[in-house]
Amino acid sequence: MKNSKKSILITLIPAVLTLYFITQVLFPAISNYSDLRGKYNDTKAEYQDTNTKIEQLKNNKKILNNIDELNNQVADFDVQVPPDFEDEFFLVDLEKFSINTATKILSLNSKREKVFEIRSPDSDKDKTSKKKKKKSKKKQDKKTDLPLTIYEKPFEIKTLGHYNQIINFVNCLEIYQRKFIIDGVSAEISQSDESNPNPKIELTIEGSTFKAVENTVDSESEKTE
Amino acid sequence: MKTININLIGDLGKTLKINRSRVKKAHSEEAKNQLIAYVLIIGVLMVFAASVGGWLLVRTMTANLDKKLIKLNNSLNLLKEQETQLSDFRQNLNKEKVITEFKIVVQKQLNDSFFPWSSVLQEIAAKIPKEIIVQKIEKSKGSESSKSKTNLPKLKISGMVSANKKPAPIVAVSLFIFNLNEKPDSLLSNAKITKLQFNDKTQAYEFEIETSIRPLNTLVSITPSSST
Repeated sequence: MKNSKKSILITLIPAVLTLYFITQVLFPAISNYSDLRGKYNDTKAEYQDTNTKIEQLKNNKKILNNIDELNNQVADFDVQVPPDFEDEFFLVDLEKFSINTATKILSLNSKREKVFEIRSPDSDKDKTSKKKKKKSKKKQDKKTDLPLTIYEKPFEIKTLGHYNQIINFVNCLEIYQRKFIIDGVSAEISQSDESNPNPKIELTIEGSTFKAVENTVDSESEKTE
Repeated sequence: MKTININLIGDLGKTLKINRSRVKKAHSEEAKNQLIAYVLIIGVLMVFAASVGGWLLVRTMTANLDKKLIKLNNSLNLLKEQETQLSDFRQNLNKEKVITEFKIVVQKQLNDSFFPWSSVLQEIAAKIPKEIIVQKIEKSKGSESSKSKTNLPKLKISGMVSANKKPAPIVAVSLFIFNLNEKPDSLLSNAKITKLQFNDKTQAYEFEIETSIRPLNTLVSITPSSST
């Protein structure tokens, strides 16, 4: 009897060891595998999502074609409205115009540059409702988000010549590759030539040149944040 | 004398019988217990072997899956780098598109503000009487009508005519207005006198004429060429 009990007790030892092995080794291994399986599935799903996003991003042809079409419309914009006023080149060109038209530039005055207001093509006129006022306020806030800021520099050019010559000088300014918008002209007979039946005329031209500056403040402020 | 009947052999036989049965019982119980023990041991060993086998299987599967996961993570990292590059490129494209669209708006606004001053001066020179001296020509804002959406530009011509000149100075001014309004297809039209004043000091009539400018899209020959 005692021997049988002993043998039964002895068989319990491997049973306990087996139980210990199952609970402490096998079950953790299975749970580890299931966790890893879950991670693998999640990573696979993320991989597929990223792949589809990349396929969408690779489809840039439409945007590139659109940009090419738009760039063709403004091919000479950077010449007409350069990033800087470049007054030195403007003076040289004015000298050329005066030589070509046989006129004399008497004076050239420039005023302080100012921001040139750009009217959005979507803005409607004659809106007085409150909602529309709120929208206009939002649009004013959006102005700070414009990609470019256009600056205007007013000039006053006084030139002397016969009437047809100063007309040619004005025509040179109109067809100038740089954008020069003439706001007004005033003419008077030159005091030194009053007695002449075909007197020379002093023409004062008021106009402005422009420059376009790219706004990079938002991107810089985002970087600093 | 009493005789004592000692039946030792019988008793012994009885006890032997009892002991034999007891031994038999004990033997059978031991055998049962041994059988149970053997069964338990074999069962436990089988379970242990199965669990060890299962553990080895799970271990190999885990190792394979781990390798796959590492490869997948590497590929995912490469894809993410590619995604950030492409999204940056797309952002730059969109930014370029926004800038280009804005440039179109600016160019249109600047082109709309173009005024053919040389043509205006030519026309005035052709139509102005000799007696009149033009002093100033400036652009004034046109009237906005609720019906028409376009802002009609107007021109203000200031000048003077000597009172001593012949023909009469006011006739000269009216002749100037007549010349401006003569041809309906000319650049300047609808001229009106807005001011006429005699200046004692200069002995001359000072006048202001307001005239409308025909829209540029109706004048094909007057728009400037793009030559430099």
